[in-house]
Amino acid sequence: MLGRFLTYAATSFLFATQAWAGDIVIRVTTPDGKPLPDAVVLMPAKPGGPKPAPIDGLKMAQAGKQFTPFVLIAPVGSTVEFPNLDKFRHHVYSFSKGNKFELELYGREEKRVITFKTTGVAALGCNIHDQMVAFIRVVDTPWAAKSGDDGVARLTAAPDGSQRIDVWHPYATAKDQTVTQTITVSPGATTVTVVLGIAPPS
Amino acid sequence: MFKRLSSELTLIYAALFGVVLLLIAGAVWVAVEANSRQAVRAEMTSSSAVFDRIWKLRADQLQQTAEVLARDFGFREAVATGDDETMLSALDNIQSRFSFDTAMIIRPDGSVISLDDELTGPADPTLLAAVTANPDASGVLTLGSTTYQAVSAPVRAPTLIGWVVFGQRLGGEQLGELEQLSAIPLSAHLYLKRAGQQWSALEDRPGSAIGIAGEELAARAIETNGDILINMPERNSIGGVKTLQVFAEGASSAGLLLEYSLTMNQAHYRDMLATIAVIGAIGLAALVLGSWFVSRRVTGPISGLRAAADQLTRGEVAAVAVKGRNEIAELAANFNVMSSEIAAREQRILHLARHDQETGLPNLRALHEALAGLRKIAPPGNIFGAIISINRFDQIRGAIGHGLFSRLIAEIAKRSLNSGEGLHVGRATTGTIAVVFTAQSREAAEATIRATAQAVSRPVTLDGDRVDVMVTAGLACDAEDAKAHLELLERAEVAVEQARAQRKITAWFDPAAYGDPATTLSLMSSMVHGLSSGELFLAHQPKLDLRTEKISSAEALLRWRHPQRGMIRPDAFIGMAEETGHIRPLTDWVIDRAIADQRIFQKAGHDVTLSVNVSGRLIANEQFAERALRQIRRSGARLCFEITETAVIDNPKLALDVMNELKQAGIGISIDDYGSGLSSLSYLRAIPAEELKIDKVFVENLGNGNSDAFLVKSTIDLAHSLGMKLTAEGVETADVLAILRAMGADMIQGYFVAKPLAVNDFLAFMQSPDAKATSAI
Repeated sequence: MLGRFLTYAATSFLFATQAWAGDIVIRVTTPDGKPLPDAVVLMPAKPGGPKPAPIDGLKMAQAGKQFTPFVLIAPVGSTVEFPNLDKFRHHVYSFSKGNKFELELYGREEKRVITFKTTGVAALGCNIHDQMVAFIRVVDTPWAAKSGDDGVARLTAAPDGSQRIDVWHPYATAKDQTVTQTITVSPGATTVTVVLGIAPPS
Repeated sequence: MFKRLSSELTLIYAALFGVVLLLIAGAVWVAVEANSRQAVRAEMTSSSAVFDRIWKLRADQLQQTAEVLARDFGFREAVATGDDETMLSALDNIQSRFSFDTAMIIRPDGSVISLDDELTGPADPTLLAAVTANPDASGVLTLGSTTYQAVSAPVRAPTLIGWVVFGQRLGGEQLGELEQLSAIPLSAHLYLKRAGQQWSALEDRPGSAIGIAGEELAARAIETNGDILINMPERNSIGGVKTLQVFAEGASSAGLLLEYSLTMNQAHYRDMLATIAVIGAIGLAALVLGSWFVSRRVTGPISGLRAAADQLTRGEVAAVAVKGRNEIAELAANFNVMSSEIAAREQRILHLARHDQETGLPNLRALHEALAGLRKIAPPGNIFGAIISINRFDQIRGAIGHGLFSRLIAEIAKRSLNSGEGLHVGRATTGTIAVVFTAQSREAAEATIRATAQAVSRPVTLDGDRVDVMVTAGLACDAEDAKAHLELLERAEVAVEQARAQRKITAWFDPAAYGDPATTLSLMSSMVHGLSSGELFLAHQPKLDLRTEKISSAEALLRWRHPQRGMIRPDAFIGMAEETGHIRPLTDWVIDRAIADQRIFQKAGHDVTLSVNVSGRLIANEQFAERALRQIRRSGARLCFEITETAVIDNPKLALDVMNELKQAGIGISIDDYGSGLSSLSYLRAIPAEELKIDKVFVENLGNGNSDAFLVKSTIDLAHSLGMKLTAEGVETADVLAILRAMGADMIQGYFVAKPLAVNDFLAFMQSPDAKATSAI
């Protein structure tokens, strides 16, 4: 999974090097200063701005009654595979607006593919296993990254100047689970720390 | 305090039982009270636990149903996609299936979807806050005017897209059901408090019965954050307060009060106490009866003993029935022994009282009792008493001794008893026995006593010696002569003397011959009075001196003319005066009277020596002699004292001295009634008498040619030879006078000369002696 993410990040980086040269390092923490993984950091697309290329073959696997990864960033129009690695069946669904789908019971090694055409959040659940929750953030901007276990996300080749960044986490307590921050991107690396309140469901 | 021991015992036992009963009742009450409270508390705790369980069951049912709905895929899809129609139908379906009172869906934006139009729309901020804070909220929830037990469940798809809220009404009906689930009669009250408001009771289940007190209790329970159990003395109840979970934590509070009325509880115990009281009353009655019965058993014999002791005190025969073997029975037995011994002793005493100890014969007392017995069965005229007196008993007793004499009396009594039928025989005095009997007539009675006297008058052999027994019997009838004032046997005793006087073996009591002692005393009293009032006077019988053929002397005889009884003969009162001691003043009076009469005669020219009869008892009286001498000396009278022969003999030495003194004083001494007593020639010689008066019994028969003439002649000679003159009394005829004159008698006295004459008659007689007195006295 990490490999795929890096591939995506590298691709984005290729775009950036072509027109801009600023990197943004965002450190996402909880209010008590702990690094927060699985936060999505993005710079909203601007009208007329560059669009990300859809990616085929993104994977949201089910293993050990869990979705993997927990949070997946998918450029709009991308296809996501839902491989079932468990020995039993899953019933994956999403009621999210624009990305509503339902993958009725399917078994091991069966692969389903969904194309996410609407920007937004698709909350994924399994009708059989309540504890299985995952989120696919469908984005229409090339600058989007997910924080790692160290809570750090990197946006590469961001345009210089004042830029808005949104930090989203499925369990963030802020409105729309999103904290918005305006930063000034300068050539080289710009480092930002974003604090996000988290309220995981009980 | 009590007259009866049984009452006292009964009361003491009853009082003790009552005290014990009260103590038991008190202990039972205290135990019951404590036990009841404890039991109630335990029951309250248990009811409280039951309530918790029910509450939880209901909550769980709601919760599970809510969760089932919240996880239904189709429902979630409907909620996620905003399909209101589907959501409402799902709610309707659930609501009707589980009979929930309310159901709703709250969306995260605060909008409510519900079948209840009042709830649809924006959610109550409190409600929204509650589910936001706790998606699985559960507890008391008030919506509008209705209170529910409500739960919520989050709807996730998979993120939170809303909450399902179900509610069951909490109202009077539900509290009533709760009350019925309890094993004890509880009343349940629900109290609510919203933020910023006061505690209040559930609207359709007003806590008015509890009022503020209940609300305060609920408040206290919430504030102490726990369940409490408290006494409510003002309501006589125990209350258990529970804090109820509320749906909206912090926004409201709820409490449940379970109240248990001790009054109702204690009513059962009151019934029990009443039962104890009834049992106690029955027990008390049984005890009173029992102890009364027992104490009667104890005191009954004591009462019997008391009654018997009273009987004994009254002198009746007393015996107590002896029952059982206890101490009282022993006492009763001892009492009976004592009683019979007393009776026996009394019998001995009575025997002693009724019998002569010497001979064992009944005594006078016994005879009187026998007499009393006879008086009950026979008229007085048929009851007779006799005294049989042993003649010369002094001599016989002296001769044979007292011991043998007793045996003699006993033998005589035995013979008397055997001599006839129905005789009561006893010892009257030492020498007499008495017989009491009934007879049809005086003649029959006399025949009986004659037979007795005859049976008794035979020789008695005592220790081989023959003793001749002669008796004299006196008879009296119970009916006769009550005026004699003598008892029957006393009259019989008098009759003995009268028989002896008549030299008869048997004689009836002669009331005429017996002066009544009571009459005697009154006669003496009237005599003393008569001396001063002139009822008594002297009559003088002239004596003719055959030598001079003149009346030179007279005998002064006492006469009593009683105003009521007429003339009373001297025999009737002289003897009496001698017996009663009146003879002294009487004789003094006679001497004084004779002196006075003699002076009257002297003044009339008649010189007459007066003879005065002096009792033999007085002649030995020196005071009498001194007085007589003094009177005679002072008046210079010439008197002669006539003294009867027997009297002189009675007191010879002193009498002789006095007579010598009288003679020296010139007073003549005359021996009266010579020949009727037992003559003693030696005394006749010793007496300084100058006159001898021969008894008239010898003189009266002189003319009949019997031996009296010789006796009179020899007496005349005897008198003359002793230097005395001889006077013959009772001369009534000229023949006798001629004989006496021929015999040489000195003086004669008698009717032939003159009868005793009163003073005036005497004077008249003296004027013409040949003319016979017209009125003799």
